[in-house]
Amino acid sequence: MLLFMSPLCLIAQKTITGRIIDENAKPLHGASISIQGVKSGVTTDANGNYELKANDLNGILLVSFVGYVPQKIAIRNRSNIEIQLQSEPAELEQVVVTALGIKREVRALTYSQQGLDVAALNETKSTNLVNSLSGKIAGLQVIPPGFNTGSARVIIRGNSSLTGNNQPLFVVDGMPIDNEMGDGGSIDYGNGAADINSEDIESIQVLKGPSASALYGSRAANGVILITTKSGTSKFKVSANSSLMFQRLTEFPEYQNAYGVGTSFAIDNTHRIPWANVNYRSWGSPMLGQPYIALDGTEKPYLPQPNNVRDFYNSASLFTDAVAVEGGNSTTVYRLAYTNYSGSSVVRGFNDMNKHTLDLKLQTTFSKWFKLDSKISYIRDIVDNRQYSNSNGRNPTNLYTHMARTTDLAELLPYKHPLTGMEIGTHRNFSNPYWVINENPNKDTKDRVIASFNPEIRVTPWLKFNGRLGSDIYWWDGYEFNNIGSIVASNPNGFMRTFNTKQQNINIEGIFSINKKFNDFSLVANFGANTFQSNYERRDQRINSLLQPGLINLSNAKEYPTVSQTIRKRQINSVFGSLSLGYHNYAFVDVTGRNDWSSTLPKSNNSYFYPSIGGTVVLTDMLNMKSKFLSFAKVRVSTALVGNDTDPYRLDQTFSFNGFLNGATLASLNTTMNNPDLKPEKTLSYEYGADLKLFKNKISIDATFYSAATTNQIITAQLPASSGFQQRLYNAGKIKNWGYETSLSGKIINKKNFKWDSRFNFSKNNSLVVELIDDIDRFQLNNNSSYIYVYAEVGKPYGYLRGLGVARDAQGHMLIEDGGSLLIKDNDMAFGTASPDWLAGFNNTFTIGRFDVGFLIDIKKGGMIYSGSYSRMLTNGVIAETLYGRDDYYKHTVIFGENGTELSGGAVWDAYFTNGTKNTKFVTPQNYEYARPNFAEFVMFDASFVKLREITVGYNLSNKLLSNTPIKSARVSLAGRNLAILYRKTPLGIDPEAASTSGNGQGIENGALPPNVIYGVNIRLTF
Amino acid sequence: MKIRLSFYLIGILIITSCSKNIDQVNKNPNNPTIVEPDFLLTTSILETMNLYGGAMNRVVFFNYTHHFSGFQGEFQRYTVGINENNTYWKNTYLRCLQPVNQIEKKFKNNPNYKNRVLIARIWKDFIFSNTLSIWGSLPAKEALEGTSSVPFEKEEDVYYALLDDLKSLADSIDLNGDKYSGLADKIYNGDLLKWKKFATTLRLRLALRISNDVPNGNSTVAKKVVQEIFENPQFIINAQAETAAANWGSTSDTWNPLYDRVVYNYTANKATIPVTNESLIYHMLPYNDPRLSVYAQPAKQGPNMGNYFGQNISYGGGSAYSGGILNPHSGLKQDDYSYIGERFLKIDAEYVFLSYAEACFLKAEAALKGYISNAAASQYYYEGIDASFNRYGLTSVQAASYKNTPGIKWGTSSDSTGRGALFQDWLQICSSFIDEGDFNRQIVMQHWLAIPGQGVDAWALIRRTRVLEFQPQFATYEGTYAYVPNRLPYPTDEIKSNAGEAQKALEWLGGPDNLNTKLWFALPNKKNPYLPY
Repeated sequence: MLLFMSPLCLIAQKTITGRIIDENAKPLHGASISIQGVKSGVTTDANGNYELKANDLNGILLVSFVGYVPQKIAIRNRSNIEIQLQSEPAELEQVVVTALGIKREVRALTYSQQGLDVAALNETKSTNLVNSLSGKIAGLQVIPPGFNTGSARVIIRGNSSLTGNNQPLFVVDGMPIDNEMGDGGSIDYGNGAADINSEDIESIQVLKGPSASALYGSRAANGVILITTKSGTSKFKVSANSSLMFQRLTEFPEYQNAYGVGTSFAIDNTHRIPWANVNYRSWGSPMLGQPYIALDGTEKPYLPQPNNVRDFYNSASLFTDAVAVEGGNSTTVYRLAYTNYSGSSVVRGFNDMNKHTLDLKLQTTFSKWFKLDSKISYIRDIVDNRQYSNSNGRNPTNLYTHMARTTDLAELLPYKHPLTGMEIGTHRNFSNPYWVINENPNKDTKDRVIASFNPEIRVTPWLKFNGRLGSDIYWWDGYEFNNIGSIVASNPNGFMRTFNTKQQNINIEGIFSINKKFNDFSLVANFGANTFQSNYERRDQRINSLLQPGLINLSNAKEYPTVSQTIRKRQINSVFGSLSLGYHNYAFVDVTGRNDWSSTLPKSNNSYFYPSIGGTVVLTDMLNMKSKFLSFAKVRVSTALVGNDTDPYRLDQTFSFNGFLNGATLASLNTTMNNPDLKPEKTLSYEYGADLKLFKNKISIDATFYSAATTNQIITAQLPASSGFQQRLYNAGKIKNWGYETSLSGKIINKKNFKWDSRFNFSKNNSLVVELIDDIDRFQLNNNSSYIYVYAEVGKPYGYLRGLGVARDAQGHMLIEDGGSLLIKDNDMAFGTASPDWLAGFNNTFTIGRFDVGFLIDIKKGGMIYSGSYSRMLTNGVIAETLYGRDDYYKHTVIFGENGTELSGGAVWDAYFTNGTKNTKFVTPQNYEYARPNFAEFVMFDASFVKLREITVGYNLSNKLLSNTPIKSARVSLAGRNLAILYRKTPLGIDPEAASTSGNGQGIENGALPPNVIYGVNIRLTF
Repeated sequence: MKIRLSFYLIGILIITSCSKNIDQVNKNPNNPTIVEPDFLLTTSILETMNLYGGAMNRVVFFNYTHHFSGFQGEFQRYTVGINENNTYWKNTYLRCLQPVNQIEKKFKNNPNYKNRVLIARIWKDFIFSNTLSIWGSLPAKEALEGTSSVPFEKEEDVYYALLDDLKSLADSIDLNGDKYSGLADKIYNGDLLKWKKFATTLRLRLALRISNDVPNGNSTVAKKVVQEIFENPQFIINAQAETAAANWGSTSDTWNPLYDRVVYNYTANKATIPVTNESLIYHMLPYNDPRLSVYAQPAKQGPNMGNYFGQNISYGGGSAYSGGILNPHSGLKQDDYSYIGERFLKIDAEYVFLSYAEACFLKAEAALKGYISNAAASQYYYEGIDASFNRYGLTSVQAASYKNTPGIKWGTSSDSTGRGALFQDWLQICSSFIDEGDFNRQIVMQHWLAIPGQGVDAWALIRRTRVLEFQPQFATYEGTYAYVPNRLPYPTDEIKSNAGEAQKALEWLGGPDNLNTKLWFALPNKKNPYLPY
């Protein structure tokens, strides 16, 4: 036939005829058919027939019909082509990447898995990839970092491990990525996953429950965030994206501007003209312009400085420039991308980050049966001057909870004495923030290479082999320097430390996959083996005293440096397999199994098996119940057992060397009692769900109920100090998490020029600590001084807050001791949990012609937070709330001269004596506010919020405008993050999302930045 | 080919995963599982110095012993510092006791380490004896084993057990056997005989600590133990060289905590620098005690510049009871007071655990109580003063003149003619005046004067004797005044984490778990006759 046709090619016009049919071989009426590059086309008649003129028979046919998948078909000299169109898959029939990179039809999944729109990710830019997930996935909670360069916490479906790691595994192109939290010390070095460049991400899938992640074994007990990076296409294309974002604080605490520095209504009563630096809290006299000696030693009027905190902060800039080149031929496709991010901080001089990412991806088809996907990312991340966090004396945000209301920022400059080089402009407890920023530099540079080589061998049409060789390697060096001359902080001679860290994680995997159909059945099976090895080494050098101010060099040592070396090795070997059997493409059964051997567990317990089983039925197909209302319905059920190993070296008890005392060696025993008999943790989970599509797929509803119980936990439990240890490792305890997630999405309006897409996620997780160790009813997860403790407590939800409160009588009145000065303490008052009641995200996108507008509202209901910053601001008398009773007390004591028992003005505790009478005794407002912050009760807040998390307004330029330029497409968008807090219960200036740690002990804020916004413009071009 | 390649790749996988025996991967390359007992002894000595000579001394004991003034804070104002209390308790068990406990655990079955294990146990007993005087009943025998529930033992029983144990330990030391290296043994340079004497003298200290009559001690047991000790009096510390003391280092990780606070971080702590206590001054100045120039520095500024002037622990409080006396402390800053003597602020200052001088005063007390009759109490008393003067580099001529001062001279009364105020606090409600024949007060006062900086010892001495007069704390948070605290409450962390056992100890207390409940060995507080309660 082809041979016969070929001479006709010489003739100018050819005719192509044929028929277009659906998957049931029924003709399709009205389908469009055209030739690529030719504007005109034809449609099929009632019998599905078409006739099309063409210049030659070498082109490509474009076939489309509403509700069916468009097709491109090479003509290849044929003049009669019958084309079968597949009806457009409902969204559920998409293929998604699941555990271990195995592609599965969504309809066959027996568990819940959710993806997110990555296009929006790059417009409403966040400084940490993890932040961008907030509100977009049902069941996922993000606790953002305090600073742009800090560590973000993410948990899925609650905390399953009592004292271990509760964060999901990040997998990029098959390679598990290190996501260690960097906030263990006074500087937060950020989490590992923050290195992932969002510009290079093609898709993100979140495997929520153990059923979804069972194939990953012990590393994925907390779910998996599966990231696939962009691959190129064979067509040469250059794309560029530039984003200019700015960040600034949006609110500040409500300060008082009536009373300045001092104590007991006096600035300082020892000097004729009082000095500012004798006292440091704002409990002085009314600010009336009287002369006093300010911090810089000059005589000034004693006046309020209402904007002294606000003026300290600046606007930060966060710039991203990315360029990507892609192209190739039929055997090799490449994509090479470079992204530069440079960001600063709202505190000028802090957190200056410069990050370069170079990403190369190659897809090579060597032959019909052998393909190789290679990917290499190189990331260089340099951060200058990371901000100290929490209540560290070098955290300016913390310093501002102390700064007196009379302090003018100008008084703080210069911050350094020109002759002595010492810090100046300080009070007690108040370091000069400019000294802190400028004289205590730190810097670190991380070079990271994430590479993966994934060969694919198609052994037979139904059997293939996938290999995965991946590595995640980084070299990370840095220093921290505190100059000589600090006054308030505790290193007047300065100190310096440097560190050199390297880590190599290697993951090697081989999987045989079988994909076969027999009559009514389909079979997908995978068998494989994996080894994961992690080698970590860190060397620390420290000098505790400097010789020469300002010289940032280890040789600048006044005493011998101390050094330490930490090596950590870990290996997990695994074999695994999965079997999925489908019947008529509407019923599926999934079975998986994995056996891990972990190096971290004792030989006798280091092998463990985790199975999962699940089933799903597409009811609409099975029962033929499709209707106008119900387009699709599926139910699924699954159960899985997964586990968790532990950190290296937790079996034997060891000593460490601690330096020398006059030439003699010091050594001490590790204060954690290790356990040579550890067993792996076990999480047994059940998950039930339904996926529905209504009104011709316009509305989709996913609903999942899950429950999981983790037992045999590897717990570090506090021991009484009298046991000689601080804590001990146990296999004990049980924690339960159960809840539900729903995700509703709809294409509410889908007109040509107006589209409205909407998605609503809702999740509620309940947790219950069922048991700990015999005789122990709580473990401490975190604390802030002795005021507030975060516990895992039997019978309570995880992360239960307790602390000092005021004892109450039967009517709920606060109780006060006889005399009316001291409240009666309740040392162990329960304040509820830090975990939210529920989370919701509401995302909307409107497309109006070339414009589009999107916004995301992120909601958290419930959860408590203790504010350390607010506590300090009360003690220091800087916020408006502390004005209570001051004028009155001033009038009665200073003006009327009352004292002691005759005092008839001031602050009064709203409390009752134990005999039931009400307290009426006046106390000094200063003592009143000194006492309150000692009770956690007065600084506990409901951390619920509704935030306008993201907004994008975009415009895609029309091709007409671009027709005379090399630009193929162009998009300009305005974007903003955290634009408004629509609802909250924390006081002004305290972000309900603030957290003092990315660890398990949530519910404490301490020296966090006030709420801030990021906004700016993106320009995206392709050439 | 395809299959070969797939298997080749699988082969790589198998080779890499099996190349190392997986349980070898978990061998800790960073830390040893056993170390020399030398290292652990030095560690325990340093940590013990840091515990009793560090923050706890400054924060708690300074204001309780009236040697120095700790300046304001919770403990200083006779209330509880919850965090600090938790830390002191934790450091006691984890940092001080655990290293020596590990020596015992790891080497007790090895005869080559016999003496070293014995010395580790003596040191453990020493630490327990201090812990006992601070909190009362405590976990001892079954402590340090990493169990989640650690039984407490009754204060009284622990004293008896310690007295027995110290005897058997001292008796078991083989003077020709193994010993610690001179470098590691920062107290006795490896000298086994001195350790034997230390154990014996510690036993003497404990015997006298419980020498009050029942129910405030057990004089019968005390007497029996003292007499037993005096069967071999040559094993009691008997020379300056036998004083148990060690020096801090000169680097930031091992230097004297008081140096760190007062000298190194002077600028940061300027407003709260600890200084000399008013009580120490009125016990020394009227007797022309030359040790004052060692214990304190003249005030560098302010109204008392050039003189010895001590801070009142109430920071000038108590005016309500002054009867119109002008408060000399009003408006003063730390720099207006006498700083603590340079000897105690030195970077590598010494910390004394048990001194020759104390041994003398213990003997004097034993003699005065009639437990022994080998020599007269006066002889030991004078020997103690000589020992103290000698310790602080003062001459025997100075000592002789001091010993001849009225009130100091055995059995004499102080001479306050025309200078009564010198003997008193500013409120004039306490005095250092000694009546004729008040031998007990003479011994106790000299004992107290010989051990400044040894807060833990001086506080126990004050509580078991109750003869020295100190102002109560007028600057309490409650707005009332309070006498020298009787104990520290149990740390909240221990009560929470060892709930079942701690509960028993709370019941044994016979009073609320606060600063004011008296321990078994102590005498009840004496009311000040000039004050309403």
